[in-house]
Amino acid sequence: MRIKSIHIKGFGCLVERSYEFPEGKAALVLENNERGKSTLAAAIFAGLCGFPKRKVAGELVKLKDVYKPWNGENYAVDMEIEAAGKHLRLERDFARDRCVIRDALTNKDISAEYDQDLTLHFLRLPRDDFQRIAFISGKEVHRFSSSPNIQARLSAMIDAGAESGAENAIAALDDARYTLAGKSLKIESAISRLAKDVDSKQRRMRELDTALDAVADEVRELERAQGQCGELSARLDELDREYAAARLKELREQISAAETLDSEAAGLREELAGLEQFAAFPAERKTQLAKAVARIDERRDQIAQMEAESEELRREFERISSERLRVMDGEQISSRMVGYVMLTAGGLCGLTCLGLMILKIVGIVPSLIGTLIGVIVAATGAVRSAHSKTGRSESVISLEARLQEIGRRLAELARNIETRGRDIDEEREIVQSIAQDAGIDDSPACDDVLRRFEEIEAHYRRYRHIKDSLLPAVLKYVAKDEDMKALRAEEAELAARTACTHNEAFPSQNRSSSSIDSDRQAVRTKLDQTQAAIRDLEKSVGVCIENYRREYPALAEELEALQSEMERAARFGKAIEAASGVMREVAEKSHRRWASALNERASAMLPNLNPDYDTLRFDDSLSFTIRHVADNRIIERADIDSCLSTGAKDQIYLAVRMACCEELSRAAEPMPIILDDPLIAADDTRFTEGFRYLARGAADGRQIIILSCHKSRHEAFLREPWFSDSVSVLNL
Amino acid sequence: MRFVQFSDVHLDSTVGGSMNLPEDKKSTLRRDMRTALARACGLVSEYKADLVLIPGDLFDHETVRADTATFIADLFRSMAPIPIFIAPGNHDSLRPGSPYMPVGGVEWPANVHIFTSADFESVAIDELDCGVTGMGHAHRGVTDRLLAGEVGRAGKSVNLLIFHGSRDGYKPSEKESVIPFSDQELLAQGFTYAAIGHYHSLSRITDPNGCVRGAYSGCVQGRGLDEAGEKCVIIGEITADGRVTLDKVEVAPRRVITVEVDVTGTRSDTEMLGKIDAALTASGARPCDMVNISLYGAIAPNLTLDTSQLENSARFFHVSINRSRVRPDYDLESLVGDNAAPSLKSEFVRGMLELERGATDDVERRALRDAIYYGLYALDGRKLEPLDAD
Repeated sequence: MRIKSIHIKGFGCLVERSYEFPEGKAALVLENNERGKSTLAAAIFAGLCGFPKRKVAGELVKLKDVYKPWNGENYAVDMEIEAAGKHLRLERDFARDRCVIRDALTNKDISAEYDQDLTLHFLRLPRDDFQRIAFISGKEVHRFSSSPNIQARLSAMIDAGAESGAENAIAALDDARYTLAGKSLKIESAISRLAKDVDSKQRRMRELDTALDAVADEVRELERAQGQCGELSARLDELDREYAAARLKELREQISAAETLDSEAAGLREELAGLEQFAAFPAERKTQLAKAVARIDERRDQIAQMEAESEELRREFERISSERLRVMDGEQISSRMVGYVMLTAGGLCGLTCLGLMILKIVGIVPSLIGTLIGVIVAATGAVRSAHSKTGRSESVISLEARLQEIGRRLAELARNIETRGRDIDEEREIVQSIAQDAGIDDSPACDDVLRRFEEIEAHYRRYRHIKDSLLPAVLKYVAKDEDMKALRAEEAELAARTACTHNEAFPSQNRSSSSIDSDRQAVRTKLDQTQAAIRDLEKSVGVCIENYRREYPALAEELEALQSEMERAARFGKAIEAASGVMREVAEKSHRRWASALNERASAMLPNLNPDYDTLRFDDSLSFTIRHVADNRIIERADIDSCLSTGAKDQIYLAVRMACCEELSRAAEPMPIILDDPLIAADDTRFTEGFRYLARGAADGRQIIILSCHKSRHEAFLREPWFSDSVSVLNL
Repeated sequence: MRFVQFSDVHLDSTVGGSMNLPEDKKSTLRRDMRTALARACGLVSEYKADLVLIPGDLFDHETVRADTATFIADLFRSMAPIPIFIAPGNHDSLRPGSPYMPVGGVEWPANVHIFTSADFESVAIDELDCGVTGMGHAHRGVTDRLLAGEVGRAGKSVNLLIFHGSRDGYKPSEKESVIPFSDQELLAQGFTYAAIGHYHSLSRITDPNGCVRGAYSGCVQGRGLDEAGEKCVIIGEITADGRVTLDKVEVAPRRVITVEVDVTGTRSDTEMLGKIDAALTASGARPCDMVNISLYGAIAPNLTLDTSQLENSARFFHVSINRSRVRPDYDLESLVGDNAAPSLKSEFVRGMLELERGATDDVERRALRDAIYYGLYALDGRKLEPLDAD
C-alpha cells in the first residue's frame, strides 16, 4: 500500500493543505515544532484507518474530538492510495463519520468492497496494530508492543495458504463463542451457564422428588381415609336406600291417612253444610227457655194448687156458710131479744134521767150520767139487736171470720191465679220469642218448644262440634294442597329412586325413617369428618402432587434439552480446546520460523542504526534481546528500557519496528512507515547514518514519510547527493 | 393358553424431542400412542387371548393426565373378563399420585390386577391353571437384583413372571438400570415365561435348549430417534407341555425411520435431494412415518445445503434432517501427505490426527475430528460454530 497524496480539508490546525508523496523517495516534512507536523501524521493515519469509535482508555476526550478543525472548517481529508494493484481515492468525512472509497480511474464508489479501516483491509492489521508497527513517533518509539494480530500476520507470512496466522487462529479459537438462547457467549461461560441451569433444574427436580416421596405417609393415610370414605359412602348409600324405602312407606301411609282425613273432612264439611241452618241457633237461650218453661210449669202448678185450694176453700166456704146460716138462725133470735131488752131498758133509763134533769129533780151530773148510761145501754141493746140481725154469735163470728178468711184467701188466690196467669203469659211470650229465634215457628206448646228446642239444639250442638272441634281437628291433620303435592312429589321421587330396590328387604325395614335418618346423620357426620380429613390431606398431598405434575415434566424436558445443549457445548469446547492446543504447538513451530526471518532482518538492520548492538532475537510475543557487540552481552528488553541511553534505545526500537514492517510487508501489501521526529536523541553521526538508512529504504521501494523539526541537520544533508536522490522535502 | 404382552406405551410422555417435532405433531403422536394401545387391546379378542401381560411403563407418572388414566381403565374394562396384569415400571411407578393407587382417582375394573407390592407376589387363575407372579416399582430407581434370590410362584401348571427390569448386557446407554437381572438369574427361577418391560425393542430370552423363557415386547409406538423401526405387541402361546411360542404384531400407526445419506462430493442442493430421495425410496418409509435423514460425508467448505424444502414437505408425517456428521471437504489426506507443502494447516492437521489416533472412545474421536475442522476454519478466518449447527 502506498499513499500517493493527501488533501486536508480541515484537520486540527491544518486547513486546505495538499501533500503529494513521490514514489521511490522518502517524504520529509521539515518544520519547527508546534506547526502541525504531528497533526499531518495524525491526518494521514486517521485518513487510512479512521478514528476509534470509542474513547481510548485513559484519554480525556475522544481522539476524533482532538483534531476537530480549530476554525470549524470541514473536518475531512481526501487521500489517494495505491494498494493491491488499485488506485483508490478515499474521501473521509470525520464530521459525518463517513468514508467513501472510489476507484480513482472511474470515480466509481466502491466503498462496499472495502473495510473502512484500510490498514485492516490491505495489511490485515487493525488500526491499533498498524499504529504499533508503522506509525512511529520519536518520542514514543520505545513503546513498542506486540499483539496477536501482529504475531498472526507474521505467522501467516510463512503460510501463504492461511488467511491468518496461527496466532490469529489461536485467538479465534480462544475467542470461539457459543450461541445460547440467542446470546453469543464464551464457551466456558455458556457451559457454566448451562451447568448452572442444569444444576438448578436437577435441584428443583430433586426437591420435587423429595417432596413427593415425603408425602408418601400422607398418601397412605389419604388412601386409608379414602377407603374409609368409600365404606362410609356405601353405608350411607345403603342407609339412603333404606331411608328412602322407609320414608316411602311412611309417605304412602301419610298420604293414605291424609286422604282418609281429607275424605273425613269432606264428610264433615258436607254434614256441616247440612247443619249450616242451625248455625244461628240461639243455644245460649236454652237456660232462659228452660227457666221460662219451668216458671210456666211452676206457675201452672201454683195456679193448679191455688185453684185446688180455691176449690177446697170454696167447698169449705160453702160448708161454713151453711153452718153459719144454721148457727146464725138459732143465735140471731136470742141475741135480738137481749138487744131489744137493753135497748128498751137503756132508752127508758136514759129518758128517765133526762127527764129528771129536765125536771130538775136530780142534779145535772147524775142526770147526765144516768142518761149516758141509759144511752149506752140502749146503744148496746140497739147494737145487739142490730147485731143479732146478722146472726152473729161467737161461733158465727168464728164461722164468719173463717168465711171471711176463706173469702179473703179465695180472693187472694184468685188474684194470685190471675197474677200467675199473667206471669205465664209473660213467660210464654219469652218462650215464643225463643222458639221463634230457634226457628220453631209453628207455635207449639211451651213444653214442645223446649223439646223441639232441645231437638234442634242437638243439631246445633253437632254443628258446633263439627265446626269447632271435629273439622278443625281433622283439618289440623289434613295436609294442605301444597303439602300434599310435596308429599306426592317426594313419594314419586322416592318411588322412582327406589324403583329397583324398593322391594328389597332391608334388615331394618321396620324401622322408622327418622330412626334410619338418625343413623344416616351419624354416618354422614362421620363421612363429613373423613372427607374433611381427606380434603386436608388432599390439600397437602394434592399441592405436592400438583406441583410435581405441573413442574416436573417441563423440568425434565428442559433438563434434557439443557443436557443435550451442554453436551453439545462441551463437545464444541473440547474440540475447540483441542484445536487450540494443537494450534499453539503449530504456532510455536511457526514462530520459530517467522522469528528466525524477523531476527535475520532486524539483526541486519540494527547495525545501520546503531553499530554497538547486533543479534536482535525476538520471542513469540515479539519481545526481544540484543547483543552488545563490545562485550558480547545479551541484553533483555527490560534492561534495554532501563539501562540503555535514550538514543540507543530509540535506534534499537526503530530497528525493531522497521524489521517488523519489512517482514509484514514481505508477503502482503508493503506497509507505509510514518516517522514523526525519528532519531530525535541521536548524535549527529548516528542521526546521519540512521537517516541515510531510512532514505535507502525509501529508495528500495518502501514508503517512508518522515516528519522532522531538525531543520539544521536536514539542511546539512541538502548538499548530499544521496539526500536529493532519495528524499523529497515537503513544505508543511 | 394364549396371552397378549405389551409394555412401554409411555402414554402422555414427552415425544419427538430429538426430531424437532412441532407441537401439533407431538399431539398427534401422543394420540397415536393411545391408538397403538387400543389396537394392542383389540388383539385380545382377535387372537382369543386368555390374558394380558403389561410389564410396566404404560404411562409416564410425571405427565399422565387424569383422562388418560380413565381412558386406559375404560379400555381395560371393555376387555372384561379377560384378566389383565400390570406390573408398574420405573416410569409408571407407584409413587404418590400414581393413577394405579386408590388416591389416583381411577376406578380400575375387576379384571385388572395391578401388582402394587414392591416384592413379588403371585395371583392364581384357577380356570387357566395358571399363576402370575409380579411386582411393581415403588419409585423410579429400584435397582435391587430381585431375581438374585428365589421368587415364589403360584404353583400352577403355567407360571408366568411379569416385571419391569434391565437385562444385563443389553441395556441401551440412555436407559436407566432398574431391577437388573441376568439371563441365568431369570432362567434359574423356573418360570414358564417372563414378560419383561423396560427395553424398547423386541427381544427374547431363551433357555439352553432354545426354548423361549422370556421376552421384551418393546414399546408399541416409536417416539424418537432411539425408537426407530417396527414396534410390536407380543402374541404368545403356551402349550400344555410348557413350550412358549411368540408372534409379533405391529400396532403403531407410524414408525420412526432413520435414513443415512452420504453427501460426500455433493455440489448442489438438487444433487443432495436426489441422493436423499433415493435413500428414502430404498428405506420403504411410508407417508405416515416420521423420517430422520442423517446426512454424513464431506462437502465443499463453502457449500450450505438447503434442506428446508424437504423438511417442510408433506411427503411424510414428519421429516427431520441431521447434518451433524457432514464435514467441510478439506482434503486432509493431501494436507498431511508426504508431498504436502509445509504450512500451518498441514502442521495443524498432522498434530490433530496424531491426537485422534490416541483417542480412547468415539466421543473423544468425534470431538477431535471436529477440532480439526474448527482449527482449519480458524486458519481460514471463518466463523467458528458447532459443526452440528443446523
